[in-house]
Amino acid sequence: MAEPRSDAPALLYRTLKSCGIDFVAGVPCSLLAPIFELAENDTDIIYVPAVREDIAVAVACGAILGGRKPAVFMQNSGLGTCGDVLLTLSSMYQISPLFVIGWRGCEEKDSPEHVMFGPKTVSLCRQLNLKPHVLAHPFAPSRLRAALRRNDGATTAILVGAGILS
Amino acid sequence: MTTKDALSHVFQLLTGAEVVITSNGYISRNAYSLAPELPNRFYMLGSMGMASSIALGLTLAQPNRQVIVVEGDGNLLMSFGILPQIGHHRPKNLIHVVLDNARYQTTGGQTTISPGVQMATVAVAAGYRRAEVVTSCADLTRLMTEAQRADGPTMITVRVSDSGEEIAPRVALRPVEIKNRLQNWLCAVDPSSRNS
Repeated sequence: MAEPRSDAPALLYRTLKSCGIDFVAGVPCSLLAPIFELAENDTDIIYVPAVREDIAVAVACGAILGGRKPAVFMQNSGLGTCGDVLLTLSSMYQISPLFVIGWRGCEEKDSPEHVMFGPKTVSLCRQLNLKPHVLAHPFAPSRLRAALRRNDGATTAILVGAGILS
Repeated sequence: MTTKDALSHVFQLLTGAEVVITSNGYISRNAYSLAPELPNRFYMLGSMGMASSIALGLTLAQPNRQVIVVEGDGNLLMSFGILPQIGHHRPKNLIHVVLDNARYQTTGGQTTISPGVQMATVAVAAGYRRAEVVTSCADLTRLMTEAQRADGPTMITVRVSDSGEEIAPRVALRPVEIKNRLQNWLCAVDPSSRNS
């Protein structure tokens, strides 16, 4: 029998929407699969299944110009694709989507490519002018809301490690 | 036809209710020098290859607003995945102008691989409603006029040559000013208005 599904994904997704998120662009990550499923099936938002992470960021920035409030979902490896667009579009023009980033490789046991990115993820976020907020287990919406309020104006990257949404 | 000629012919046809997004390098510099006072412009100063993605996001957020993106062949080739991305969403309100000089003009005129790429064919295969290649100002005007009246996404590839052209000055606005000016204008001007 399948294990009962955690309610953390629904809780996180509802929290994002309660913060006004009405547009999601992203490239999938297995750690974020449950919230990708929610975004894909949510007819109240615009969902952009992006072919690359930098395209997802730039599409989200365009949507902000048009009055939407987007989130970008991606894996931490996508930070490697997004250096230019994060610094010379999002940061330089002060156009700030909310980032939700699957944090692969944050524990030692992960596949080799993820172990390369995992330990660098927090510092990479900071280098790219993203303010990391690590989701704790169990997920507490009030802490996330408080962090987003504190980060008002800064571009927040919510880091989602293994087991948080499962 | 030079980049500046092509931009002039495109801009002449605008009603004033559109947003124009131009790619980094000489294209934004030329666009700015032609109409520095117009607020309905987004000059991409960095992020090479991303102008068309910004345009897509704006078309999705404001489906009743005509959005025109002008970028170079080097920009498009750098982010070629945007073609199926635009083809998937098929925004009716997008005109995608590619100024193809087969050169990375801004960095000194190094060659690109565009001469071997059938961009219009790829665009249609990726889901664009229409894609054409033009070589004359008259054809550019005709195609642009048709694109404004029809549903997009439409791609117009314009063959341009910029050898020996005077280089336009840099965009004199700070990036945040560019964004604020456009956002204020977007809030104030209805997509269907004709204010020019």
